[in-house]
Amino acid sequence: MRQYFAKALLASSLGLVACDLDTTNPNSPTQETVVSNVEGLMALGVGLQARFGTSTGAFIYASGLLTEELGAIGTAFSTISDAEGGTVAPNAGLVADFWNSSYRTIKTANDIIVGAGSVTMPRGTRSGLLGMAYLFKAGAIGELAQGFDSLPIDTYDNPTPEFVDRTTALTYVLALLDSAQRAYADTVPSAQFTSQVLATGVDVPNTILAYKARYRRLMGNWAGALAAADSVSRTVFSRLPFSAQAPNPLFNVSTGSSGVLPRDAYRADALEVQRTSFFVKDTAIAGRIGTPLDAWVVFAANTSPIPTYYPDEVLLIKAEALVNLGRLPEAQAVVDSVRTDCPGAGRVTTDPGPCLAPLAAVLTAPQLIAEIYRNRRYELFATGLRWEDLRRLGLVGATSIAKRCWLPYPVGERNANPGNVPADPEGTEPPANNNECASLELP
Amino acid sequence: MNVRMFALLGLFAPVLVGAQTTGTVQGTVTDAGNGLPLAAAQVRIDGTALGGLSDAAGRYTIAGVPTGRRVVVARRIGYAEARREIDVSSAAAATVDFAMTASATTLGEVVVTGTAAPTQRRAIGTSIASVDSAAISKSNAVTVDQALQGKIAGAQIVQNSGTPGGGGVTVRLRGTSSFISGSDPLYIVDGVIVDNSSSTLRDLGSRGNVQNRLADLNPADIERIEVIRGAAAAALYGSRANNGVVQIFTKRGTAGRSRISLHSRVAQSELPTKLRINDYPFDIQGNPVTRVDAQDLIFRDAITIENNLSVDGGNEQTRYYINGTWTDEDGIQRGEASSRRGARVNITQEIRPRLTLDLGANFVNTHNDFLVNGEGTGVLTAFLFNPTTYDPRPVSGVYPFGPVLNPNPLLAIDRFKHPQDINRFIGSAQARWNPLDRLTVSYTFGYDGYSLEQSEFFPRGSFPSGTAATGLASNGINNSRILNQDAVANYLFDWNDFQLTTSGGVNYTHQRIRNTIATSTNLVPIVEVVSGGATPSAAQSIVELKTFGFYAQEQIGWRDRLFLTGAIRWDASSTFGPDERWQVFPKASLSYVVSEDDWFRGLVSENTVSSLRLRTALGYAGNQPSVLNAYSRFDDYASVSFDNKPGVVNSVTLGNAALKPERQREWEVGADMGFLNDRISLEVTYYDKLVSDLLFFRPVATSTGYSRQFSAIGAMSNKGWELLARTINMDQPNFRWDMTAVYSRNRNLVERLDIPSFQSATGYPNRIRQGDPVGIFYGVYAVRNCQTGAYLLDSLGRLRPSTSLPADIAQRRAMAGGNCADSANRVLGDPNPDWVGSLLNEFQVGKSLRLRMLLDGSFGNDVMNLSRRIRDLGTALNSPENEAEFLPFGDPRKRPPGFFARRLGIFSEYVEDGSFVKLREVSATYTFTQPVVTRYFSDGIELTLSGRNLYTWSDYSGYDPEGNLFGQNAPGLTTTAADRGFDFASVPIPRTWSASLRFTY
Repeated sequence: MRQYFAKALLASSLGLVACDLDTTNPNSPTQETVVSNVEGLMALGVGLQARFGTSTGAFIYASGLLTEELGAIGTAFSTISDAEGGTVAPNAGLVADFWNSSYRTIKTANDIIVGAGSVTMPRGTRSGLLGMAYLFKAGAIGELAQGFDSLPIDTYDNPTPEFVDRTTALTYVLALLDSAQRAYADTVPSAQFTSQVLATGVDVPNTILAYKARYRRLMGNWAGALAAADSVSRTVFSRLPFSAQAPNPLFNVSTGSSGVLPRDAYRADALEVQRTSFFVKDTAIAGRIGTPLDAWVVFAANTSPIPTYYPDEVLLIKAEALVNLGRLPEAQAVVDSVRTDCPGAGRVTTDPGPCLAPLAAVLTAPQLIAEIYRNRRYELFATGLRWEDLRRLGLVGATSIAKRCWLPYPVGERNANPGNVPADPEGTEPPANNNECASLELP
Repeated sequence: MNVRMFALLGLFAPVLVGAQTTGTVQGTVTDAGNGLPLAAAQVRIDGTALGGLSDAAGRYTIAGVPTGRRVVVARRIGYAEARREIDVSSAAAATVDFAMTASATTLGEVVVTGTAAPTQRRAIGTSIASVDSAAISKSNAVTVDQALQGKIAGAQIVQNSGTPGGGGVTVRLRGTSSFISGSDPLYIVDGVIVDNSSSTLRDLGSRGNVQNRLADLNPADIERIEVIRGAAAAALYGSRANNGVVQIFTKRGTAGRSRISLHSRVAQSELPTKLRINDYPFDIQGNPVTRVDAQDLIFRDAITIENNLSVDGGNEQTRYYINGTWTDEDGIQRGEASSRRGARVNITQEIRPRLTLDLGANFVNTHNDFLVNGEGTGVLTAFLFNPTTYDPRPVSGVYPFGPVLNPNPLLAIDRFKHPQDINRFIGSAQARWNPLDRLTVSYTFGYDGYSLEQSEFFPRGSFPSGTAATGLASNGINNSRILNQDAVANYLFDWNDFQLTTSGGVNYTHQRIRNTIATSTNLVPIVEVVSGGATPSAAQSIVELKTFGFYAQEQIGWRDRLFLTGAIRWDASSTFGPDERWQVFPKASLSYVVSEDDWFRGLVSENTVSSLRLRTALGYAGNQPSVLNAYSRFDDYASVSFDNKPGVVNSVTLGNAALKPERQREWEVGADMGFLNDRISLEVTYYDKLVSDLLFFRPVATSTGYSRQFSAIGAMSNKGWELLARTINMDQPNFRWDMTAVYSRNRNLVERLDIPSFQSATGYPNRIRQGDPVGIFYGVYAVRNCQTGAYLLDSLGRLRPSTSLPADIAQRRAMAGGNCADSANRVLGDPNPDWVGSLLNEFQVGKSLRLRMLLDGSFGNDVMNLSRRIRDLGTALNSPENEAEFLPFGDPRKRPPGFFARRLGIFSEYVEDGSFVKLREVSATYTFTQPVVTRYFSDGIELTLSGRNLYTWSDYSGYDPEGNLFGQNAPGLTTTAADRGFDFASVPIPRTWSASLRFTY
């Protein structure tokens, strides 16, 4: 009998040994599992589009607030209305939101790029995933480079990434877009990719080309910009779709303590009513600091899509390239084709259309450039692109249109990446008027 | 791991020995002073693990004693140890009676917590607190941790709210040692680690919960509690012992005639003080208004009924204790109630002469009806936010909305539902085997499982807007289970003047928590369940946590007066990173009973210094990531949806593959002294704790795509003094007066912080900063003239917040007349007390009357009175102070318009001295032992009249300086264990009067 007790005791003790301390988390997958199989990478592809939707929204928010496109609503915190006047502290939420969300987009793109290289999957799935990952990584870095004068680009598994100047960053963006184009062109994307990953309405190849045109323009590569602009399909309107589960970020911030709405100054020119009414409508809302605000038309619902680019941006880039290449008559014809685009007609029927008359006279190069920038202002409202335009026009400063040249680097990055974050290019207060923005010059 | 394990298993396979004959020892224990029987005296056979406790009649029985000459030892708190030698034979039971003399010292007491085997206090180099059943049963506390208030040196025990069912209790032993895990100690019941989480499935406000799960234990079942406070004592509990260990022992039956005991208590609780209100008869325009004190509609006098029926008894082979309990407690806030129904069966069975089995089974059902308080949609919150012109009473069945904050508090009381149902089973089986006189092997298997079901219901139209406006129904179920296995072997060996005790043990704990919650809004009228809502959502989570450890200890005693102990514990937890899996926690201690050395006796007479012991100890312990951070070593990916397709993205919290526990080094030094023939005893301890590798969220460069990582962020120290003094002021046959004083002083300091200082309670004015105590209040202050100290007012006569001054230092100095307003924020106060203390007086008058009174206090702690703050809201202005804004212009007491609304933003104006002294416990017990009574009830009838929290002496202007908005500090991103001293719309702790009767048959 006693032996039985001894055996029971021994067995119980053995029970103690039968423990495995390597638990796994049943609630969520880990990085290793996600990047090492096709389902995980495809899910990351969906997540990437969600993240780009958020980060591009944060770019539009910050840029719009600093360029008199958007204004703080009455319930917004004072930090939001301060930003409207150009006062942005390094700990401001809009700085962190733009920075953090963009780098999260980049992180997800990097996860796909790293994983897709080693996981066995249909070739058409890989081409789609990689094309999309390179594209949105390029998009996020490109947008960051329009808000910060230097930024890290080598951030994957790198806890203390170094900062590079804008030129290096934009060169990298163009290289990424080349990779995107090559990867996507490898083979026709599989049905697996187009039905399970790619969001309805997003056109990867044309967005790649449009972004090539956009960033080559920023780099002053006019011939390249012209070539890219010419290769973009004229009948595609690529838009990120949103839903109740993944709501439009700008609709989402049209109320509450971070709330912003379009400023009514955008509607000042009555001739542009066709284009402005595409974006906003008059509702005479008073903003927090008295700015008259309008309601959204383009982002009126949580399901409103955000374009990855507007089709006429490509034409305006083409026109600007032609001017810079000295081909003025061709440029004026392109400008006219934008001016005469009417709502519900034209190459893409759902984009903004000014429905203006063609230019009455032959314009000089400076006049054409001015007309192109004017069109960009109305055509590309709430895309965030106006900030760079105003920098180029020298319209920066406390009482000018763009209130600041650059955003300060977020305090969170400075605290956790000491030694690499450069001094803020500007103080918290906005700079003097018509400030020549440093590091604006691109090759 | 496995190889090492098998090596250890050798300990559990000792040589089996032949049968021995045994006998029984029995007798009675009495007080030598008055001849009364003494209950709860420990009687043991020296040199063995055999022993028992005396019952209410002083009787005890120890069976299975090996025959031969044995020494029987009786010990009891408050008495000197007594020893008798006796011949034990198998033929007849040997009788040993003890008459014990009063003594204030406790050197002979046996403790088991923090030691590998039961050990006399004299041999242990650390100070261990113990509390016996008498102190617990007299406290009138609903929960065990409440009952400990004011009884343990080195402990700050705070009841966080006055809701029924315990109110949520926070226990801090020797200060705050962690930001995570609530910083509460490890609780062990009969050798089984039990869950003391404060989980809540639906937010009851306050980011905390109003009940911690220790509330499921019935205080009437408790025989004794031992408390060890820091790493030096707790090293044997390894990576879970950072915050100390509280071990609870439940009652075991006493052999002899079965006794049936019925204890019934009825109590009334009431609100101790109402907040005064603004009852100014005019509004701001001078129009007459009617004002309502909503407190009259919210609070009530509440009744508590508690019944315990127990049977215990047994024979030489079997002893049992069975108890059934039934408690119904109504809250002083209408609509709140808590009930507990439970039963415990404890059986001790001698299976073979040297093999004993202890079984314990405890089932409890706790049912709570709580209301939201504190933050959010609370009842008192609505009272504090709304003006007193608001009458919340329903008109024709319609509850009017509050003008500032909803819900209508009376609607919440009448219609909202937040029931919690807890079904819990705690079971333990312990086998003790003495194959040799000197060898004890024991194995304990423990199970603690409960399901917590919580629902929430807001009827349609309870709120004017928001998601709950269309009604909300929610239901969640939380299943928690802890399996615990513990094996210990202990071998005694004598060599000349040395006694060696070698111990080794192994422990495995497996905790699993699964919860599911479903919520829906847009409810169909009448229906109160989730399926009645049109917009449902659901969530599920599973957490598993495993800890495996083993230890070895060697104790060397010399002539029973000098003891050296060394021990080492190895611990592995599933929460640690693979490369940090095994952690080592050593300890060493020294104890020297100086007074038993001849040289000392030559110097000091026994009448003056009757006993003196010096002790010191050094030890290490750890703190594991809690259930909330159980998977923090993994890089988690979270699900997102886009275009109605399922996707994943990295969570912004980066996994930490090198995660390891917080680590504490503690040393302590102290002395236990007895004076005047042990009529006075004094225990003094100084301790120094340093916790390094404190775990919290370290910000990471967000350019990595992550925001934070759960990792080591700094170090924190606690240093302090503990004093425990017991005196026997009088000891006459008909009158005895005992006094116990406790003093605890702790100084906390954040020694090092590797991350920027942070607001530990998001949205609240407090900080964790290097060089300051944890959780200091920090924020905006009202600028004063640096020379005169007078407030600096703006042109409208309102206070000026420090943030409103220009950023330029020179301009600030010019305005303030000095450098006292240079910074925008500063330290405003410290919620950590300078010291806490208590004074207990106990009287025995005649043979039948006992009186006791416990004063309990906290000194030098600040409280952030956010309840008062919110009353300054321009739309509320409901305090008497606010009337100044309603006075006509020209009145010298008139405050300018917007004065209070401006003050609302200046936190310095709401920091108050939270020092208090509470009349915590008062009781008078009379035992009827007249023959007419004892004919039916052998131990007499005991009548007790008592009170709890009867009065508070304090300068604090709110309801009660005790309590905390954040409850037990559910750890996470938005609060930490450091966030104390916030008073915001919590139910105040009630004053309770009770009468109870105990019949024993």
